[in-house]
Amino acid sequence: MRERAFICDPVCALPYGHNVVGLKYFSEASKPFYNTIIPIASTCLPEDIALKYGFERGFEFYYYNHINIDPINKIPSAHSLSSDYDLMIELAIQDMSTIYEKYVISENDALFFPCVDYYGAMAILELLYRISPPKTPFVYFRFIGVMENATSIGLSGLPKLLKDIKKMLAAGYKIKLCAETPRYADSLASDLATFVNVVPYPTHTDMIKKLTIIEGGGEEYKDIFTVVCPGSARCDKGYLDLFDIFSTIRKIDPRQSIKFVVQGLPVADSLQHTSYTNQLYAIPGVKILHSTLSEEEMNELYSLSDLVLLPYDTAIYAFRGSAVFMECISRGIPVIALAGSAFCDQIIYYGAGSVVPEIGSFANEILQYRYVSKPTLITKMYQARHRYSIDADYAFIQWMTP
Amino acid sequence: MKTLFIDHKVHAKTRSSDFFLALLRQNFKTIDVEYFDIESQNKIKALNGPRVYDLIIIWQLDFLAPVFISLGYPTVVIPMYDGSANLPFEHWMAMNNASVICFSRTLHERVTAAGCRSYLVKYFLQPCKESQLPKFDSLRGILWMRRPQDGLNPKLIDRLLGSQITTLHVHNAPDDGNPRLLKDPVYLVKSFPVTESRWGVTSNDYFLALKRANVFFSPRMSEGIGMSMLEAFANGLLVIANDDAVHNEYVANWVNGILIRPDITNVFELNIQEAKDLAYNGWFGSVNGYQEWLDTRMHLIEFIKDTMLMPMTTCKANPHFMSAILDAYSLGADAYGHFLREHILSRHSIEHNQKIALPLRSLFHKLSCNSSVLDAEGLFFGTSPKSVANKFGFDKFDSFTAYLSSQMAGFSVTHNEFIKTDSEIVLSIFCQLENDDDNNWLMLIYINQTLITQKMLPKKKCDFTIEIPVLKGASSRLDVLFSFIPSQLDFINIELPILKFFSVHLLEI
Repeated sequence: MRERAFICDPVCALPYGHNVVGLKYFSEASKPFYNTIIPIASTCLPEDIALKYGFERGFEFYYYNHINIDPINKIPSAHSLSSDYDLMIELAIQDMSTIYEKYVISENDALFFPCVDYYGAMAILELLYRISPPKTPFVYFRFIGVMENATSIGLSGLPKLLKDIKKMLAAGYKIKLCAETPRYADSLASDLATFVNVVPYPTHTDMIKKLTIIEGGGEEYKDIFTVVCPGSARCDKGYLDLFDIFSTIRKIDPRQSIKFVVQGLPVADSLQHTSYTNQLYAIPGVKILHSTLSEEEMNELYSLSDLVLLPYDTAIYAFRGSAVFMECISRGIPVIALAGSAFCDQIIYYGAGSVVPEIGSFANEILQYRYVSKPTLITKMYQARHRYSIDADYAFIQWMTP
Repeated sequence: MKTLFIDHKVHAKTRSSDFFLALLRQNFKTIDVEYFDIESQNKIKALNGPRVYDLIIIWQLDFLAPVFISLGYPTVVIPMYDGSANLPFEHWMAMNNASVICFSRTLHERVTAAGCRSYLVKYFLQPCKESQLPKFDSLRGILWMRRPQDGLNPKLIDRLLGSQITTLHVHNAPDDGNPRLLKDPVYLVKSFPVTESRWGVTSNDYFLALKRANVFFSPRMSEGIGMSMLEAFANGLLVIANDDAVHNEYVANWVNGILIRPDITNVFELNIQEAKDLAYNGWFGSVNGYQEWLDTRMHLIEFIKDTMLMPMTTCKANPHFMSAILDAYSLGADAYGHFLREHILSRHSIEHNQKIALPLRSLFHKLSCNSSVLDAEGLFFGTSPKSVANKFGFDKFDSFTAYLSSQMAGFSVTHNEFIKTDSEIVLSIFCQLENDDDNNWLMLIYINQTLITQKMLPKKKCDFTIEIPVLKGASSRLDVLFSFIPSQLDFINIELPILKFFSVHLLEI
């Protein structure tokens, strides 16, 4: 067993969203492989959240230009607000050096980035490059297709990052790579001319509860079938398509045997979509939740979901996975997604839901699920989860093994 | 807990807040009710006697909230969309120490963006039984003609639906109290027969007509709660309403009702089966919605009670603050926003209030400005380097002069000696009246929200000086506010005195 794993996520700054959960899941999944696990988030993550999960806070927030966060507990440094590329790199290297020195990181340790961000990754590469390969720790980069592209100069960071990784691999540095979706892994493998594993979320005990609860139920069909759109409501997640989907169903189902629950837009965005959200809110049987939910509230939301909709923008999600999908399959909740996103391949492969060709097809598909008997659906989702958890857990073990 | 419920005087008649008051009475031991009349500005007893209330609940008169908040009262505010939709963001930011209950999602969004603690309620009335739903063998309309001047009248219905409507009942009871002559060409329709009712001793005629109809035309462009619309939903009528809140928060267009825009919507087809389906969706929405409202009530009461736990301001307002804020409010959104920004919301608090949405914080950052420093040379209205005129209620004229442009005007100055001085000092403002004015104008002068002095303006053209005593120990920043009150109370038609302001000096007496 190796000494220590530092699970690093400089983007983990908000008390909600998938970064906190991802850091938690991967920290716990890494425990069998290391004597000590040290998760490190951004210094902007509220202290109470960091304490609750046992996260260290070691990284400035480098992405004010990309993510609209309120630095609630911390005044941002002038460097972190800059759009100067060199300053940002310098800031990230400084943070990484501090961590490196504080923990006296050695070749017996590992640095693990569960959702790679550009400046965090560039900083560790730069730092390691100053040390000879045998003396460096193992570095694990997991690509999810989001923040590895984010630079302060507006250009995609990925080509530069891949170029540096390629150089480091050639020089003998111990770097292991994976991606969240098969499509993204294949794309990276082609760019880097090396193996890139596929590592989705490992299953976590939080996720197991749903099917256990369903098992206890006896009735054939539920009186109320709840369709949920979880995750931060965003326009690229199909928020603006929901009215068409919900209103079509409501016309067919006036007695509201199907209900909808959706998270609202964040305040800053919602002011620009007031009329649209009003119309969503006006549809009988639609409940709009707050834009940000705690982990507990998210778990509660999943526990009442019979079906989850993922009408994501296919261009933006062309290579990306969906944290919501991985939460759903682990909990045995079927999903319906719009064809084109990278995670649709996984939905089809595991039989974890349906993929439809256009927004107009969602309503019909929802009705299909509404009238699948509970035992049939449970059996189907059991099988999907079974296959997924074997793959996901094994993929993680295989990837973690040096 | 002793609670005061403050409501608009008109609701003492219409009883439209009664349902809420009843809910409060079920859950709070002692509720006193005071009705306030904006026009007569009757004194609110709670502000003029010993402190006896633990909680203040303000229905619709949300501009009163800062007065109670500044006195340190736990305050709950229930604003209405139709009255408060156009108020500036400063209005909501001034309520950061209050709890806000919104019956409109649109308002809730604005209030939340301004950093307030807000609870969104979707109210519904008890629906009729399914067996009592109206028949849809023909389309029978009903319109309570409350705002005919906005175009919501029989003529509009004729233009949109023509002979698809078989009959229309008009409840001829406008909000202005003047029933219209339906034979007047402005209202006369030919495509369908019209029946008419007015308020009588009871409201029976209206409710009987509602029961006979199956298509309800919402009577106002926007609503606070929309009681008549909710009544229509509860009775299974198809609701057709203007596309604004709160209508568009209850009517999903062509799902459970129809939204129109009277100025641009063209004639549309409405077949009877479709009308029936839409109406059914609306009614069933109220079946579930009513249950949800019943379930919500306890959470709502908890939300109100939790107001007691909120941190209260320690600022002590003076009795004149209320008349100043009312003056500013009556001058419109701009003057009111300026007043709040200058007197309640400091630049510091706006910039550092993390609860306020980021786009708003940057907006207010641009709007707020520093006060000018007053020294031995004085300050000038206009655009000189030491100008004070970049404040509200003045239009710049030249480099040293500004004209009064509204009934409320003000500026801020700082002077380091205000605190230290032992001698009596006055702010001396040099002015000129440019016209002969029959009106007797009273000028109220406030410093830091305290009424310092009042003065009648001259009636003939002249130069004059306004001298404002500065109290010993005043803070180094003085917020000076003029409120001009005419002897005629016809605020709409009155013209302001043509008053020029030149300079401000500090004099020791």
